[in-house]
Amino acid sequence: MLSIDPSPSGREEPTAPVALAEEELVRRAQLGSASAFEQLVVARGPQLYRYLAVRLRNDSDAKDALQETLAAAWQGLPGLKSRSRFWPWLVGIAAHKAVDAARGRVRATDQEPDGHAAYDESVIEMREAVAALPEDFRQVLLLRYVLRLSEEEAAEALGIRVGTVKSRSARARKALGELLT
Amino acid sequence: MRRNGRDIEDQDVERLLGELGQHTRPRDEGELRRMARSAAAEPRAPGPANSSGFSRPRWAHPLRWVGAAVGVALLAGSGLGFGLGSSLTTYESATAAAVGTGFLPARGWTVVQSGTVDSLGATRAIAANVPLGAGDELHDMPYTTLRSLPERGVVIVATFTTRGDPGADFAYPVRTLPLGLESAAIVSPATDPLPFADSLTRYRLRAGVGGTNVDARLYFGAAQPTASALRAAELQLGRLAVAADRVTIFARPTVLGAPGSIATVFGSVDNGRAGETVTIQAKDCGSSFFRTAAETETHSGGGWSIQFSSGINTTVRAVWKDSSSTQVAIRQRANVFLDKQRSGRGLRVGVGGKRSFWRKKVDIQRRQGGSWKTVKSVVLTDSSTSTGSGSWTEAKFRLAVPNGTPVRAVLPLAEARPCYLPGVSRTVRT
Repeated sequence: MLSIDPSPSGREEPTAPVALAEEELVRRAQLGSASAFEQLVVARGPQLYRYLAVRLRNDSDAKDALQETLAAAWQGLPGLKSRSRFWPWLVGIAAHKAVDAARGRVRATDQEPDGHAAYDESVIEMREAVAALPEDFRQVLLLRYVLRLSEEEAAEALGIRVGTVKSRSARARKALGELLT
Repeated sequence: MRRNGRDIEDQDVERLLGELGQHTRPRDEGELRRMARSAAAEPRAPGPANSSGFSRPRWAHPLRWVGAAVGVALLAGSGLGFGLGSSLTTYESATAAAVGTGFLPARGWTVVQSGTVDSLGATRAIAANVPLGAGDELHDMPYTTLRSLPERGVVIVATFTTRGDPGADFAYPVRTLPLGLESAAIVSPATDPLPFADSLTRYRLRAGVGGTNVDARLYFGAAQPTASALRAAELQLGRLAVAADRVTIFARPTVLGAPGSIATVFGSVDNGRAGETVTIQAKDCGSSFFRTAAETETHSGGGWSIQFSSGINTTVRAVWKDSSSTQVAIRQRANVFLDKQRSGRGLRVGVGGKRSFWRKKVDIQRRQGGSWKTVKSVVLTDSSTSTGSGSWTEAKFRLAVPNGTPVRAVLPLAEARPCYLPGVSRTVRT
């Protein structure tokens, strides 16, 4: 049975065995294997959900967005040309679904993700500061630091240039600094 | 917590953002697997990508191949002429629902497959060892043929419905193919009347076969069927094929009225086994994906059923193993409320549902000359309250009608859709 280590060992250099195993699962899922798709979801789902929960600040919305992401991914998998780029491709779908979900809901219904009782003060401040950032900045920050994507992967997921990721990341950090100071 | 921008950039952003993610409650593996299965149960839309080498394998189950073979045989037999006997298959038999279910063509027999004939998806097949009467291939029952059935004649009318309806399944004992006359019972003309006087002999055979209930009615032209006629009927019964969808679903009723009203959703799986887990998924209006609404287990014969209520137009489907059923729409009428204000002056109208009806227009109608006439249109603007399960929007208004006039409120389709059907309040006397 193929297995995947869902947590990249480093931001910039995913390990080769992980990529190979995932590529094989992606290939099978592309050919219609629900089982392979399930394994991909089990491996990548927790990270994806973590990102969506932070981004949407609502457990229910995050779950819905994850389900929508998976549905779209299953439909779109046959069109994925580079299997090695599965992860940023999947994150890109999730990012778009998160934007849709955030746009569609009523602001007043925002809540915190379940299980946040252990937040310390600094995390709460950071959460509020991230929520106050412009959408473009927030996307880049969450992909880079919550999902730990490389700049190249974040660029691919968001469909923007690497340079844009770098500049947005820098400006987002600066904006965060101002918000927290 | 006070920091300067430089500190944030260099030391804390990564750690704190990473911690944000750590404080979310992870989805457990079982839930992720269910979500994956739910997504993968949706057939992939055909497209350029799919046609270029990536296609989802179909006919994964051996029975599917049997179904395909039977379907091809039926179509070939009907379209090209099968042996010397005339075999006939109507247009409807080309639909997925009917392919693979019905009578195999045979020499000396005319076979007809019908498409869906009622709201519960019943299909029907007719086999006769005489030519069918004019127009009989277009009707549910071959009355013309039966009216003039010669003594040697045999007509079999088989109706196929899905198992799962608890009120019906008990009458269909689980049997395996081929079916035989030994399982059939002789029935009186009073039990199975025809719209004309007749002296036909009737047999009836009911069986639950692989998730499908088969109700076969056999008509013999003779009052005492000959051994050869009985033998012919036995052989034709043996050519009855059932290749249902792997998992089926139906709902009754499909339109829900009052809040809290429920529909019975039922269906079957094609292996006919008890204890199989079936997941019922629902897609509420406005949502683009299916959520898991319930899980249930099949009972004897592969049937299953649940009670379902959603409060909004919903599409449901059943998922069993790696197969999903067709989708069934269960529609909800808007919940419209009309009452006098407590002060006794004026009326109050409101609409509740899972979606807000803010700024929607409600027609106020009065009873006049035996019909309802719209006398006012009220825009819902007040007290839009959101709860976990829905919202309630209302408006207060006055109506210039004589005291004691019957009035009601109507949310028309244009205002109710796409997530609701029109709703009507109870009648109130001003």
